[in-house]
Amino acid sequence: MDEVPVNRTEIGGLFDHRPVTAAGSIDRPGTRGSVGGAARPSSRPAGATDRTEMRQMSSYGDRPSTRQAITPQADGSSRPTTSGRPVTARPVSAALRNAPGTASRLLSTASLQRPGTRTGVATGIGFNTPINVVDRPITQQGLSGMKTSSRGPQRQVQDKSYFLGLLRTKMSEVVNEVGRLTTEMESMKQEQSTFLTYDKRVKEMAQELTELQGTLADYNLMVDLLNTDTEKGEVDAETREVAEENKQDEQELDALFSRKQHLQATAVQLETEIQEERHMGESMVAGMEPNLRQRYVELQSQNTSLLQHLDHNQHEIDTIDTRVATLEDELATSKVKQEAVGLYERLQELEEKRTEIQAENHKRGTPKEERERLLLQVKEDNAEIATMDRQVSEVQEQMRQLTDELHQLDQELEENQSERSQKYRELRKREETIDQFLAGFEVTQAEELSRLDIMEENNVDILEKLSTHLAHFKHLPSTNEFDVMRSDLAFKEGELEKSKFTEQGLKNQNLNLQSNLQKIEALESKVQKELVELKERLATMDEEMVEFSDVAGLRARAEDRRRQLAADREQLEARMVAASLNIKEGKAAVASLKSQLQENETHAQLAALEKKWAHLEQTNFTLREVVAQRKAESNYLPTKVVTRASRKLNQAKNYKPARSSSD
Amino acid sequence: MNNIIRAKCLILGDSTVGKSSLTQAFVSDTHQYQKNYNMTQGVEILTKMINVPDTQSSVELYLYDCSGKEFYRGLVTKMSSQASLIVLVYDVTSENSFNLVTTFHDLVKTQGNNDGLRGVVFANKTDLTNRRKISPKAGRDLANSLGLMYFEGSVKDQKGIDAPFFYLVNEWFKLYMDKTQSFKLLS
Repeated sequence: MDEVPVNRTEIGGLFDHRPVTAAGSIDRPGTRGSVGGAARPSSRPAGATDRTEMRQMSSYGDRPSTRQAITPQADGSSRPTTSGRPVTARPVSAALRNAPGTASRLLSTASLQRPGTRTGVATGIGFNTPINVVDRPITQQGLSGMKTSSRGPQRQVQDKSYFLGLLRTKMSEVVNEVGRLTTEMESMKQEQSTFLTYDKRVKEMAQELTELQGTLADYNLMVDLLNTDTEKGEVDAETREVAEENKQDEQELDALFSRKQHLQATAVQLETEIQEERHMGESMVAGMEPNLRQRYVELQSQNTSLLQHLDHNQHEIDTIDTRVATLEDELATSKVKQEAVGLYERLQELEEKRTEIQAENHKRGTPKEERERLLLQVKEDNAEIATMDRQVSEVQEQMRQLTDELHQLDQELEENQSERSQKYRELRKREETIDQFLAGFEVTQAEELSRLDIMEENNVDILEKLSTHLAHFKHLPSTNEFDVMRSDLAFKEGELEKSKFTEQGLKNQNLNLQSNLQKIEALESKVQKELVELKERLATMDEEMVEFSDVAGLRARAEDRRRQLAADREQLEARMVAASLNIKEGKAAVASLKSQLQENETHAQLAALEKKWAHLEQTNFTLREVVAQRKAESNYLPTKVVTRASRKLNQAKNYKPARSSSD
Repeated sequence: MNNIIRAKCLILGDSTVGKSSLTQAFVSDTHQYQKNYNMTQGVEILTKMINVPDTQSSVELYLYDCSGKEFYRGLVTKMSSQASLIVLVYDVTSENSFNLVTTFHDLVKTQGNNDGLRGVVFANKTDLTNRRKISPKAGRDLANSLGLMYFEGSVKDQKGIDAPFFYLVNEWFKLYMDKTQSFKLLS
């Protein structure tokens, strides 16, 4: 709220300077009067009277509130700061004074806006609205407004204790932050140390795991061997094989190692050679002629300097690039800056325009001269126009003439076009053909020549043939004979055709017959098979014939057999009866014996004894089982054997590497 | 052709190797197992009908569960005449029982019917792995030397009980078919 008066002093300061503001701060009504009465009419050109009245009215209405706002500040210690503020405001006013036109505009707008803010102050409560008032004129002025706007909140609180408090809070925050960071650091350090230990442990564990996995694999192998029930000898043989393989691998490894060493040696040798070469180069440089050597040295130094220069420049370019990038980023991020750039550009443009206009103004000179000049120009222009008109009319006439001529020519052309064009086309065609001919003349000539050659050769051949045939001329038949021969020929041709037909028919027949033949062959094979079968059957039948020939004997034998079988059956039946009887008897005997047995005391005793035996056996077995179980549990011999074997193995294991290392 | 082929199957071996338990477990399909030892007196005869797969015929086994005691050896020898199938059982924890297998085999051989004799060697009590003394390899070698098939298992764990009997049934059926075929050819 303390801003409002300051603002007014600023505006007042445009015309009345500091004294007025000072008066305003001491005695309000006086300032107001001075501002309203003396300053305003001069500042405003014309027609702004309504606005001033308005402003005055509103300002009077608001005054009580403003006065209240000021008085507490005057009592407080903040006065010096207010006095300090005008210093910043002064350049603004100075700037305004330099450009009268803009200043007037500013003032009018400021006066326009102020009533609203003033009312806002009257109704509103606190500090915020005055800041708005400060902002408004500043934003209109452009860039400098930004600074003041940032200045606003700072100015608001100027209490020493407040700043102290702020500082204290910040200090405490910083201390807190530092403490937090130190604790974090410590914890991180601890973590680092624990991490190291854990890492070590992880490595150890991993090693242990691999070892255990190896042993597990060994055990699995052993279980597998046990399950497959392989003999010790086989296992030994396998181990021997593996050992041999190992030896081979070792040898290979040795060979590789030796090769590697060899290669290293060669590498060292090559390096030394390179060094020697370099030395040689240096010695050559040293042994060069003095002027040459100087030149070499110079060139080398130049090279190094240029390289340095290049590096330096590259570095500079990089830094500039980065700076440009950062600046562009900044520009892109802040809208206000972008706006500022735009406004700057506009300002530049406008200034350029202004300079142009000013230059024009300088050129113009006095109105009288101007007028004379203009008149002269008008006269010149008019003369020029007249000449131009004349020229135009001449040109138009020429045009008309030419168009007439053109029409005439067109008509003539139309009359002659039909005949001439045809002739012309024909001629054109002929020309084309001639051109083609001319173009292809050489080729065609060569072709023709070659053809001629060929024909000549043919002619020679034919002539030679003719000459040879002339010798046989005498043997040629006479015309009569020729007729006879011709008729013969006709007849024979007919015959030939007939024979061709017959040939075809014969071919067809041949095909048919061949297929028939195939069928017959198949049949033959079948028949042969049948024949073989039949022969076999015949043989069997022959054999049987011998048997069957003696029919009576056969019958007798069959009868004999039957009889015998029947007798057997009867016998067996009889025996069965006897047997069943026997069985019955036996059963009875068994029953009697059983009853006797049951009655017999010794049997009863025996049965009892047997039972007792069984019982005893049972207990015996269970006891034995238990004993065996316990024995098996307590038998330490196998474990002893195993431990001994393992100890031996371990010893061997320990012994082996020692030997190998000694190797 | 639904015919029943009968076969006399002797189960022999030292006492307490598990002959009775094996036969009981096989005959009663529930695979019951008696923990207590029950001494067999003399010979116990059990029957079981087994269908030969993919055929109509079935084989009826007369299982002679003989006592392994020395006391009953005479009786067992008498009963073991004309045997068609034998199951020689031994205990993998007892070397004595393993050695007795050959003597039992000889005993059966002396009683005749040697050409058609089919049998198996069954190694019992494989569940007692930590007390095992006879390796499967030794058992197999013995079975091969006797011209028999080797099987192993544990009646207690109900492992490999049926396999030897099924093998015997199959073998017997094959033998029977061969014999009938040869008879038919002869007639």
